[in-house]
Amino acid sequence: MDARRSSDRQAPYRLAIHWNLRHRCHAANFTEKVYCLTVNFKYLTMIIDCAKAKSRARWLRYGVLVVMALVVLATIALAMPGGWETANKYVEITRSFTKPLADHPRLLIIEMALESVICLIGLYRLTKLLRLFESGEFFSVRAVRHLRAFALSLLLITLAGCFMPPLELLAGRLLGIGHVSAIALDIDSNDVWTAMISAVFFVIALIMGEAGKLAEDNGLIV
Amino acid sequence: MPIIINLDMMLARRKVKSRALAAYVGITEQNLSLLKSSKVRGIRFGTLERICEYLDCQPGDLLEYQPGESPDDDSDSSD
Repeated sequence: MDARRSSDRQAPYRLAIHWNLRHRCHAANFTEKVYCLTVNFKYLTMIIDCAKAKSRARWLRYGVLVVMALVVLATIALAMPGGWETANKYVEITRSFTKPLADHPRLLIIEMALESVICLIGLYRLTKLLRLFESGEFFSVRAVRHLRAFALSLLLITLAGCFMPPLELLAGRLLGIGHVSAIALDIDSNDVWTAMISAVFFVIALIMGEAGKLAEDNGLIV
Repeated sequence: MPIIINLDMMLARRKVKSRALAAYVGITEQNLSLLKSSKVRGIRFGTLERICEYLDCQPGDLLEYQPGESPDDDSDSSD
């Protein structure tokens, strides 16, 4: 109460008095009060970080769910008869695909559907991971497994994007469908980047596994 | 593990209940029970200090090294 009545010069004291919920502050001079403020601030930061992580995980999960819905809707819209042309009227679709495959919309839709399914599985595992983060399970075995599955889905999307078109075109040529005349393997820098990002996620999963072991070990220290 | 914790004995000697000690030290009764049965990987100096303070004893009264004990999963057996 005294601090409230004091001048603006004593604002840090006021903060210390309001924040010393855990560590009671009976400071006599300025240095002690600053120390008290630091201790309490450190404690508060710890709490806020944990709560923030959980809150961010929740919002990120909502975002992922929205992306999942968009992926489903976009795939359905593009698979509809004339969907590709209609979509191109309103939105410029900049998705890159192998040129020979562009002449065969059905094969393109098959490839897109496959990639969408892998993407949905990966995003589903990501939502499960974020759900675990929300409940405070940061380094559990389940969390590591979900992250690994998400990284694998990223890698599979890249591989499917690179190797599915030539395989589809080859199958089309062998079956004599759609007069397929050329087969091309298309790998660009985006694919390399995605593969590298998935590798990074694999490494993070590995580190999380080690952290889980350490946390388990720490739990056995009384 | 060849390190034996004689906490049970000390509690009996001092006629102190586990619940009271756990409350004083600031650990759960479950953890204290694990400690009594030597099923822990380690003990913090802070915990040891509080136990010694409450039971008025030395760390040596609580911990004992027995070389012939059967090794646990994490300890290596050398002969």
